Amino acid sequence: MMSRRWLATFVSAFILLAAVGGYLLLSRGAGTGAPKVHKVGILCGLSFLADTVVGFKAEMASRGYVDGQSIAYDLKETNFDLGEYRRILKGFVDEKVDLIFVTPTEASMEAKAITKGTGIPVVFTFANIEDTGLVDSVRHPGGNVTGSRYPGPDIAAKRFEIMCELAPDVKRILVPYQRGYPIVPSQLMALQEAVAGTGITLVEAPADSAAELEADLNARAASDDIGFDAILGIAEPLAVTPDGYIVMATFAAEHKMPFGGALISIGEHVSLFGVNPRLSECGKQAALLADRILKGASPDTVPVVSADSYFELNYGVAMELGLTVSEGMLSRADNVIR
Amino acid sequence: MTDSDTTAARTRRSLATTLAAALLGLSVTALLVAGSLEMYFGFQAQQNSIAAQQQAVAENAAGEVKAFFRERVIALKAAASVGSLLTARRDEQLVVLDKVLGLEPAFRQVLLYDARQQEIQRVSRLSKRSLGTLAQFTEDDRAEMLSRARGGETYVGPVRIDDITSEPMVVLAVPVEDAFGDIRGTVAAEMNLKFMWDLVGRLRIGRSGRAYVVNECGDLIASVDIGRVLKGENLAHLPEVDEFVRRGQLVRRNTADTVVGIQGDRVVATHVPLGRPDWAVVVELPIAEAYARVFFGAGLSAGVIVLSSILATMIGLFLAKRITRPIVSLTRAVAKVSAGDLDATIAVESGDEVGQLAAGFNQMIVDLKKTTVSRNALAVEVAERRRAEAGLSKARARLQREVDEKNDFLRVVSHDLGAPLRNVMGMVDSIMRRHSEGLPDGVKDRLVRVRRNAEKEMALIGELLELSRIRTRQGSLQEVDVGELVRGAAEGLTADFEAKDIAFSSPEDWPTIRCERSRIARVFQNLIDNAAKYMDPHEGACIEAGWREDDTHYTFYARDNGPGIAPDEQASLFHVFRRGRHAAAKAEGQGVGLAAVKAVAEVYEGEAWVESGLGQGSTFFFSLAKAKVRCSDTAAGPTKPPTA
Repeated sequence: MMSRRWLATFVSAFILLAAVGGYLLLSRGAGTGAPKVHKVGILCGLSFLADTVVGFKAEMASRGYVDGQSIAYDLKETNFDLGEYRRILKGFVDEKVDLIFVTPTEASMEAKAITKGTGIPVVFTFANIEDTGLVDSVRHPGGNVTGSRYPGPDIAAKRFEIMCELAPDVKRILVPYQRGYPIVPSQLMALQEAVAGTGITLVEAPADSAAELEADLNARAASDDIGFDAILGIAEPLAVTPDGYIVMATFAAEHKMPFGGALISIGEHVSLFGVNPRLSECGKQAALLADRILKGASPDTVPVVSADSYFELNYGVAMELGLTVSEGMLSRADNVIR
Repeated sequence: MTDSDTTAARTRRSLATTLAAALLGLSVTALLVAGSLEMYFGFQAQQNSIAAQQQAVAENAAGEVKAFFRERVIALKAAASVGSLLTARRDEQLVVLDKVLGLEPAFRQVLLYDARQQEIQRVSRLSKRSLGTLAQFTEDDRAEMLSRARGGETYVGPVRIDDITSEPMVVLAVPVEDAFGDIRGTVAAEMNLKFMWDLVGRLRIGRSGRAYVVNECGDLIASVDIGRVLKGENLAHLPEVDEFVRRGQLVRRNTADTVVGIQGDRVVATHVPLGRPDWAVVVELPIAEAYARVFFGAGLSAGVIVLSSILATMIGLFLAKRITRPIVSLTRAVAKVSAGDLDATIAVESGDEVGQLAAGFNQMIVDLKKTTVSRNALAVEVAERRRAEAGLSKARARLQREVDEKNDFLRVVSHDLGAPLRNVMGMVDSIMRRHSEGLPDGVKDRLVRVRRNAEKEMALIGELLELSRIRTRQGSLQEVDVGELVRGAAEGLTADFEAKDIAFSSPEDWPTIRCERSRIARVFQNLIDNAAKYMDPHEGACIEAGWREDDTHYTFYARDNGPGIAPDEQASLFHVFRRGRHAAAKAEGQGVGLAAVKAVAEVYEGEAWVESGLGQGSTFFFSLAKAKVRCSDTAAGPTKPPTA
């Protein structure tokens, strides 16, 4: 009787110990508990920048963040509405999200202002850091903001050079822009520097809206001298939002003049060329920084990265305009649309 | 719990604990030694394996980086090898440079220098107003670049950080040769190293390892963590990077030592210098992964040791309990037996020594029980004997009292009867003396018979007084030659012997004993007198006196060849007033003599008895204990008694 009781006790204890040991061994790689679910608020302030969000999520997924399991996105989309920007961002702060991913420049500036003192990190993309005060410097952003910068001034000058190369006969270039938009001056300054000594004149066309721009263009067209030979878009709302872009593209097409800028097309409306960072790549770059911050890095120690420009050329438009595109230009273009 | 239970429990606990501890200690020691040796040798083997594996991984990573670099150099050399590049038209030169720029995203600028070291063409992804990191080029840098290229080398400039993007850039330059192989110019490119980041990021170093590239100063120029690259971190403080910075050459190791890694954790690190450019690829594997198998083995060994220890503990306890249980049972049984419970037994559960001990104990209990039963019976018997002895003692005392009373009675009667008898005899004598003349003959005859009867009664009373005194009044003791007494008695009966023609014989040698002379003499006299008195006259009548001895007694006898005594009368012969029928018919007697013999013998712790049969003569014996009659020296007795 005693032996049986001992045997039963021994077997039970051994099975229990083996089970505990096995569980511990098997659970070695399984982590110590449920993973934290990171709450990320996303504000896409311009509808055409939606691909930045796609790229951001894709890169985050490749880095192990599973939507709905280890990360929860709160995506808010609007189209250049500062009031809406503030409301959405205030909502993120109230929700105490772990990180805010924001685009473009204006939304990023609002995010920085609204999150000040909250400790909520902000990662921007497609935003100018020149003349905006978003960061202290590329290497040392400072504060709670870092991100993927939009190379505004440099790319503006590059667009001008491409325009000159594609349309060497152009002497007056219209540059429409949103009046008072903060990042415009730096781009205009870069353009002025590029223009210097070329004999080309920049014709600035500030407007508060696409309608005003359209009216301005129509007024210029109605005059004896239209006053410009080409339209060059810069990184500002009129050139990248559908209303403004369509006004410019339509006008250029109607008047058979080159139109180039940031975007190669919006819908069926096209331009001669577009030089802009690829949106999805910008989102991916921002995701790299967000990953590091979610893993514990302080945003002020995460340097700002720079997006690479992407040169697209519409060869068909060039042909329609009777322009000669050099073989070198075709080789240099990242994408040629025939 | 009783004291015995407590003691038993303490004993069991002590033995069980000791045995369990011994088993556990032995098991754990053996396991620890075996586990330690296994872990040590496993660690050595694993360390060599890790070092070799790490080296291979690092070299593979270095090969990837070299290949990346080589492909860009090849692209640049392809541009340089386009025929008559330097003498081609400007637009043709631009096409070539644009194609290189378009084909290779890592190139931010491509430049063409002529034989006079003058820049003659430049294509750029930047605006023309920006020179990128070329703006940081000094004349000396430029001169060295062109000099190297003119010398036929591939030039790789120092890593420079772009002012705007903080991205690391490097300038490559290759010579431009003509159809004769003569160097006519240089093609250079500003290469953005961030395109190497993706390559480095794709390198898989184990499960959680990482690779990064540092330049000759230890500056981080490629890493999956681009933030740290953009910050321009210098990693020379890391031991592995420091070794590269100081030695700059490949070091193969056989051990996988752990150092601090780029993330501040402990890693197994290896670096492989690229040669040209003067960079190194560093690979790090966190110690947890590098030594995962060692840790797993150690953990497994530890687990096995723990489990085995638990197992050994349980087995030890089990065995200890099993071994000590019969001992505890034995202890309890001993306690029970000590308390008198002989039904206590131990269950024999095994055939080993302990089992044999239990069986032996059980057998001992059975034997003890038997012994105890015998002892109890003996005790009962002793008790019964003691009771009997007590009864006997009481009876003896009562008998003694009765004997004493009888003796007192005899003494009183003898004394009280003696006086009137003496008066009777005196008055008879007086009558006979004064009046015998006047008395008729019938009266005188009657007076004579009165006188004679009175004398007989006085003699009887005298015998009885003597008989009572034998037991109550001891005479003086003296050393006596028994033969002298025998011969004295025989001489007193000489007339009787002659009257019946009886031959008397006795040995010459007799023992000398210490006794009451007169009483022993009276004994012999009674026996010889009886033999003569009851002897029928016949031819060959004889009386023999003799003696013998054994270890404890002297035995004396008187033998005759007279008529003998019937067996049924022999037992009562030694009682007072008892006489045989034949004796009473043949001779007068008081029936006191043999009683006196017996009384004397008993005083000397001896006996008196007779051996006889009708027509066979009689032999009367009496014995005296030597202890009672031993003389003070050794002069007692002859050396050899006569044959009885």
